[in-house]
Amino acid sequence: MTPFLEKTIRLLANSENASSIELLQFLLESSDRDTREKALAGLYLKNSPEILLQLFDKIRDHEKEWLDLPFLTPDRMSKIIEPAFQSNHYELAKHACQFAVRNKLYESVGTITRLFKIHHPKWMELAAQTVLQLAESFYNDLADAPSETARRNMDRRREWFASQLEDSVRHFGMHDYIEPIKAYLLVAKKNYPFLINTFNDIHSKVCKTIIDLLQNQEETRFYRLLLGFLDDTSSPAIVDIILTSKQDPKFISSLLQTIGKNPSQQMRGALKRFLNFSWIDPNHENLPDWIVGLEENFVQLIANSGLPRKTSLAMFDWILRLPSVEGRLAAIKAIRGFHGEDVNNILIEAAEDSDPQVCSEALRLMKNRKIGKIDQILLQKVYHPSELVRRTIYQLTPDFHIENFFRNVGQMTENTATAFGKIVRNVDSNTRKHISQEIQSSIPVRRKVAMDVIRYTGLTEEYEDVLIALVENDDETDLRIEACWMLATILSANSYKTLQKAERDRNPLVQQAAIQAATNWRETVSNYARNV
Amino acid sequence: MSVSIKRLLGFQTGRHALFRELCNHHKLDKKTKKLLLQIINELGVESPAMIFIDPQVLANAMSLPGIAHSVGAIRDLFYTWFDGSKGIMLESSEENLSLS
Repeated sequence: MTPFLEKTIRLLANSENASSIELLQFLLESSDRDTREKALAGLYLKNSPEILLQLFDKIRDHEKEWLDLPFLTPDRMSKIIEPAFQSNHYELAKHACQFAVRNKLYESVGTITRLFKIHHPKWMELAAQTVLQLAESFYNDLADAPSETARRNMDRRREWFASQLEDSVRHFGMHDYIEPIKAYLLVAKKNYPFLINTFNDIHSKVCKTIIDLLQNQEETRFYRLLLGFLDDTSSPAIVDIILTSKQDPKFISSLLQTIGKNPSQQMRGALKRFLNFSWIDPNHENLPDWIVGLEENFVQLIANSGLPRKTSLAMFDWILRLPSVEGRLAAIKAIRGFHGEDVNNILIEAAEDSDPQVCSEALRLMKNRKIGKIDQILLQKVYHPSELVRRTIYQLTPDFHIENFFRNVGQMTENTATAFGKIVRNVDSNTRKHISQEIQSSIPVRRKVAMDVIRYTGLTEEYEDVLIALVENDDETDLRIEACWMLATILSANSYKTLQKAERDRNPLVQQAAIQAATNWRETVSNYARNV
Repeated sequence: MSVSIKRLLGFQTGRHALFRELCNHHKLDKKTKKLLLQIINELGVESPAMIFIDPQVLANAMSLPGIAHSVGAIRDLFYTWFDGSKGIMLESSEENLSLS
């Protein structure tokens, strides 16, 4: 387009001469895109409904080609189609509605809702369908906003969009079309005054309809609005009733996802206001399926809501029987806040859980609460196949640590020491290391205690070489004698040879002990051979 | 749109008035205006202002025998106003008029 032509079109656009219109219309047919766009802009600026209708006619015949022009923003396009709604020609209005939906002309929603004032079923039906389609499209756009800026822009438009629907929602009783209400629920945010006032006007037809939609319809797109109230302590009472009574599995799943595995402080505080949920019942046959994959979230709901203690504990007990390990672990951790005989019973059962983490957590809680049977239970689990459980038992049973055993073994009876020793050997993985250190001590008393511990922990055979070395080399007579007696219990050739050699020990007391020990060894072997 | 509707809408009518408006807007000299009017009259163009937006009018003017002395001027206008390199070729009646 030349500067001359551009200047010409500018004059035509601003001219009040009626003939300028036909020239601009001529230019609309130009093969040059810029010329067409400028001519279109010129005609748009005439602000004449008749001209705008002609433009709409032209544009919808070659929609894609025209809508590519930068001048045709959604705002301007909405203005162009506006006369079509006011034309009293149903087919034209219908085309305009379809055009608005196809091209997401949200700015048209206000004009379209005014079609309800025509009070003719055909027109009201058209308006109803169109506003709902526009709202659905807007809802999708909200979800797809690519950036924070885009979301903020959408939020501003959202408020405006919702405000355009208020009239048709308010007059629902007159036209009876539910679509504007559905559209409003798709678009509205929980803090919009119109929505709050509607919820508080519980006897109005609009409020009852909204409640019915939110309560009974399995429309997932309404969940966003509903669940927005979950962490809001000032939510309308009727909304709280819906939140706690709605038994739609998809809703429950969304609710649990909203709570999350680690709810915010605000959410935890807000959940306290819910004293009951109609679907929270250990006998509810569908509940396991409804919470699959969301067991941890479910635990958070139970733990943070204001459910009666009995119900909470019943649900924790129920969760502890579910297949989900994450759920069971979350439940056992949540039980920390509860005390009493009933809780103890749950913990005792949980200590038998097949998952080591759950089992360990239960054992810890039991030990902290000094539940009567805890020591017995801990000892029973000393041989548990899971290393985690054994480590937990170690942490919970300091009495069975090897250092403490070394310290206390001298004050124990033979039977007690033998019983303790076997447990210590399984509880404390440092047992052998500690024994090996002590048996090499330069202090004879410590070597003696180490030998006793070897005996009580049932590790005599493992320390055969050490005992042989003691018999042969130790300076202390008592220790060599003790080692002889211990070797007598090891039915190996090396032990017997050592005893035979010790019969010629430099010390007569050791000789005597060795002779007797060797005799005992032979007797033991004969008895063993006879029994085999 | 009919003239009566346009009047109703408050638009100024008068195709000649628009032509004059455009001449003033583009600050055309008297000689050029006279030439344009001559072309419009001889071609019988219904809406005079069309000469400002439709290159075909100037192209057609090249074949008018009465305008032969002004062929150069017309050509200048054509190329200035409409960027003549974009498709329409001008040839006077002497040069065997043709449009491509």
